[in-house]
Amino acid sequence: MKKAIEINGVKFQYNNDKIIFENLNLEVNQGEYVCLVGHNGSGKSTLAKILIGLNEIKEGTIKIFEKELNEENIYEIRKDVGIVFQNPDNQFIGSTVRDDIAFGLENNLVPHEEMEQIILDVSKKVGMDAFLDKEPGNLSGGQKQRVAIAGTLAMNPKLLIMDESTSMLDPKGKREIRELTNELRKNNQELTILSITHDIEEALQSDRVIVLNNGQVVLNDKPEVVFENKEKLREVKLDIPFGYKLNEVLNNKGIKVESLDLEGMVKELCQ
Amino acid sequence: MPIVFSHLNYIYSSKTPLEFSALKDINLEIKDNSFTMIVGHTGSGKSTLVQQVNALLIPTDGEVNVNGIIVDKNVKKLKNIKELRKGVGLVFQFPEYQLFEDTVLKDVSFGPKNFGVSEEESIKLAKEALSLVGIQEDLFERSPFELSGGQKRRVAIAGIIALNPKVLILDEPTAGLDPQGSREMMKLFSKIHEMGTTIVMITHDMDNVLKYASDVVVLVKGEVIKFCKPYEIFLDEDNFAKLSIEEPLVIKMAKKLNKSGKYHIQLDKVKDIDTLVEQIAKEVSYE
Repeated sequence: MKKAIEINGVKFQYNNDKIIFENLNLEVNQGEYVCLVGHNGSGKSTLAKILIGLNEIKEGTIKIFEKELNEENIYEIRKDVGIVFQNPDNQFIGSTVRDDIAFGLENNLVPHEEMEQIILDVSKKVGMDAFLDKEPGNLSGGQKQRVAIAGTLAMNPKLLIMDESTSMLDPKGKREIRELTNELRKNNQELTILSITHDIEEALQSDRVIVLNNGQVVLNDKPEVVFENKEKLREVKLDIPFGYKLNEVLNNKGIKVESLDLEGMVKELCQ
Repeated sequence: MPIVFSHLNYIYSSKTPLEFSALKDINLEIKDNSFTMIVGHTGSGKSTLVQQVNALLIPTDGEVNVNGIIVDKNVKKLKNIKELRKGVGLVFQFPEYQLFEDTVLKDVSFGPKNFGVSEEESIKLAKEALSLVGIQEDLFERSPFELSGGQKRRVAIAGIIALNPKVLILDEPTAGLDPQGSREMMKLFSKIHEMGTTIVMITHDMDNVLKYASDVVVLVKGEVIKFCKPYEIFLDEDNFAKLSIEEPLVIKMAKKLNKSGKYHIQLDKVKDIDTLVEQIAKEVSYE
């Protein structure tokens, strides 16, 4: 299988400050949807910046789609990588949704007719095609992030990095983006998604969850395996999904249930 | 300190083409010692509403009465406003952006000093406030800008608490914090509330509303459409779906169990997973 990201023996520190990563090793396959979780300060966002070449590593290698990341090919590699950041208000350039999505395309000198079509396509994908002539400032947080994602998708990335893209959104906005991510992934099996998130319910829907603590990978497995490891998660101050928590509290009270989802537990409890 | 809004209206950019009616005929009585949460869409008027309480915005019409001090369009006497602001502490969204002094202790003692408290007393108040929010002494002489995000926010909140306000107003105080940080922050407010402070909090987090609020105000397009106990919001399914409020999963679970006919869980007693499971356990043991 083709690798989207290969991190080998990476060391990183800001200036001469505390070492953030020492001998970090991670791989993400092409087409995989991976959630990277960890509390504030665990190194998640630093890693995202390393992957797009904004942070320079001290040791080790990074390969993106089997090309080693270095000064010569950084611009070539960035063509394959799209990133959506945390604060929806900090990433708008255009005065309308259409202009904003067009920004990247214009930079790449995409012909006008082609551009129109791409904008229409990606805005449909994120469910914002009815808002193309609206001002980004008047949209809700969830809508703004959908526009930001559309702008990234317009560049047709092979790897989409979401750096806490939902952490400033209200619960409804979080759910919208969670559902959108899931859909993008379903409709394009080739697209690799690396989502850095606090939203444990999002992590549940991914293919793999990587738990980072003090710059180290402490868990790295399918969601159902990672979230069974409740002790470890509590130790690194992470949340446990609602279903897993409820299941645990019920069992501790002597009420035996096996399901980890609401429907399943209701069924068991009503038997 | 009770806060009573009567027929309060607020219009932004009145008598201009940009005129926007942000609050319409607000009538509310926020009780002394309550923990009242305000929910509603972005743009529903939540922040505009709380800013009337310490006269950062002055009502276009009607009034708000804060423990006998009346804020209405005729309010001019600055003396009264100062009195009011001593009693009402307002913490803005992302308050850490407002840190400015070169040490933590100086930043927190700025407020009391500004209200005329002596240097010595201000430092004492600042130290008490910092210890309450959980900032250790070894950080007192550090620059606030060197702290982590969660610590910065605690310092900023301590700056308001040092004024010993009777009413603490918080505008989305947990936004942007990680789940652990957010839980700790809510515990802190719960503690401050128990010490006798009235708390008014704007939030989007319905789990927190359910767990901590004594009352909840639902704002839609500048109007109060509900002022009730937290669980009551979730009784009317059509309504809260329209408000795009996310139903807490514990309530969803309780409703599903009740629907089966086998359980009779009292929704008003469901605050979190533990209180839900307690009720389930009771019913299971009756069988």
